[in-house]
Formats: sequence, structure tokens, C-alpha cells
Amino acid sequence: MTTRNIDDQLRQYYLGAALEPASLERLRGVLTKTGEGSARPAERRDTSTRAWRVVALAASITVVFLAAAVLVLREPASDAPRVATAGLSERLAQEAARRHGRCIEEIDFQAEDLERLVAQMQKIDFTAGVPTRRALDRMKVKGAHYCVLDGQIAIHAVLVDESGEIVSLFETKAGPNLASLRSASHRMGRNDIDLWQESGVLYAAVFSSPAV
Amino acid sequence: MSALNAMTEREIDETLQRGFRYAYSLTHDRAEAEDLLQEACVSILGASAPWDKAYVFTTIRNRFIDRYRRNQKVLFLPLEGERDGEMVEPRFAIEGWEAPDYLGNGQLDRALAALRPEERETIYLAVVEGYTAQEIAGMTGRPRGTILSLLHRTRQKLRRLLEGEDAAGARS
Repeated sequence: MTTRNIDDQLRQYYLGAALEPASLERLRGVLTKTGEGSARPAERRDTSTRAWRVVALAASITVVFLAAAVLVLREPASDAPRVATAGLSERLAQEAARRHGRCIEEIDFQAEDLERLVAQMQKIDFTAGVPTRRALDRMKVKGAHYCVLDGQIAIHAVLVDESGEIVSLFETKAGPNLASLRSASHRMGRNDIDLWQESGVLYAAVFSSPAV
Repeated sequence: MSALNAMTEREIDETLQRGFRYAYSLTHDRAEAEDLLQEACVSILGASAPWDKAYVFTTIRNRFIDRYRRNQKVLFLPLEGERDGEMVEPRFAIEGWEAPDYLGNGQLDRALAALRPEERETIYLAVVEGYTAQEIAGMTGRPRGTILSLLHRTRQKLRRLLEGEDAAGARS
């Protein structure tokens, strides 16, 4: 086999390794959204109003819970949206679990608590919050880094629970495609993934069961 | 965003596709390559850095090395036969992964999977992207002589792997 043969094969092989159109579209979306986020500092979070936001968040949670309860109890007119939401939540759960498995050592930001941690992360195009789930309150914060979830810039915070297990908490903007996704739980391998929304932010928490 | 605004959609897509191929040459895994590219995009735009191919490649490379160092999946090993003092830098290689045949050319795919990331990277940059040894040396921080040697050895290794498969196929 000649060098030219090998080179030709390599060229053909790598030129065939193209991004799928859907992935290309998603990445283009990431570029646009991230670029817009960094180009408009006035739209970034004002950390001085964070305390008020937490209060507002708590109040709005009650409303969201009531609304969610009403929606859950109501019989949907068609199964189609439910199926679409199920597929979406499963895809998000898979993505979160994959990142949880691979990226927990990537710590670019550190703080004592989640509120201070997310306040440092200014490159996002949404208002990151502190979720109200009580289980997360008791966890120690290890740190965080930027990542991408569902093609959107996201925060990946790494927490440690009381038994020393690593828990990943993802936060990203709940865009229109995620509007129908209110709350879901998935079990994938050793990981339990909870997805939920609070105040326009989509949260995903990934808990690993200890190996037996 | 200004650098992006100055580019057409086609130019952005072209840079993304090239970035993906380069990431794929490092990881030999489509999902990992896509993740690396996404992270590089976020990192570049988050830092308001220039959006051009060279910067995208450098960011992908740095993210790749960071990720695998952090996950302790990278072993620093000398290359086969590199004992003559020419290649003195540490090398990285991923342990225990097997690449699926995404692209149809199973024989070449398996041969590439058997290479180390820096071998795939170098041959990709030279053969597919058309960079000179001097340019690759600048991008990867290795001496030009090392790049030339790495290219030569990688081609030999690929040839051996491909011919070995041919011979095995003929025997069976």
C-alpha cells in the first residue's frame, strides 16, 4: 500500500466525518445565543437583587406547584404532546447523565454555596438560580463549569451529598422547546436524573447510586 | 460576536465542520468530538476570543488535553521506538477505548482507533487540513523534526495495520 493510497483513504475517511445537520443547527444556535449573551452586558444578572429574587422565587414556586398539580391531574386531550415531552426529557436526562459521568472533575468556579457559585458565572444568557429542592440544600458545593445542555449554554455545578457521593446539578434556560417539560424522573444505569423547571430555568440533578 | 457577525453562515458552518473533524481526529468518537466542539464554542465566545479556525483548533486541543487529564484517562507514554532522544516530550494516549465503525470504512476505522491521539492528530492536520510540518509544530508545540518523524512513523504504523488486516482477511 502506497503513502498516496493511505493519504487518499484518510482524506476520504475524515471528510466523511461531518456533523449531522441537526447538530450543526444546534451548534449554530449555541454560537448565536452565547455571542448575544456576552455582547449585551446590560442583560446580565444584577447580583444585588439576588435576595429579592430568592424571595420572589419561593413565592412563584408555590404558584408553579399549584399550576403543575392542576395540569398533572387534568387528562390531556391527546397523547402526542406527552409522548414528545417524554422523548425530550429522556434525551435531556441522557445528556445530563453523560456529562455527570465525564465532567465532574472540571471545576472552573468555586464558592461556598450555590448562590455565590452561580453569581460568578456571568457568561450565561439566563438568570441562574438556586433551586428550592431541599435535598440539594444539605449538599456541599465543590464547584462548577460552563457546559452545553440541549444545545444551550448551561451551568454544571458539582455537589457532594452527605454520604460523599457526587451529585451534578445542571441549569439552563428553559426555552420554548422545553416549555412542556415541567418535571420528570429517569433511571439510567446507576444514575437517577430529576428534571424540573423553576422560574424559567430548567434544572437537572443527577444522583449516582453507590456501586454494589 | 463581532467576529461571528462578519462571517457568513457558510463560513461558520465550514469552521464548525472542520473543528468537528479535528476533534474527531483527537477522540475517535463522534459524541466526544461533538462535546469538545460545543465546549470550545462556549469557551471562545465566552472569552470574546476570535472566531477563526486556528483559534477553534487550539481551543479544542486544550479542552481535549484538560478533559482527559482531569478524568485521568490519559497516560503519558513515550511512542514506540522513540528512545533515541528526538522525541523527549510526554505523550498522551487514551486507555481502553474501542471505536465503533461510524464511517463505513471499518478497516481504516479500526486502524485509526489503534493509533494514539497525537498520531491521529498529526496525520489529520498534515493530510486532511494540508498543514506543513512547521505549521503543525507551531500548533502542537513540538519540534518540526518530531512532527516529520511522527508523520513517517504513523504512516508506517497505518500501513502495517491495514496490510495486517488484508493478510488476515486473505487467510480466512
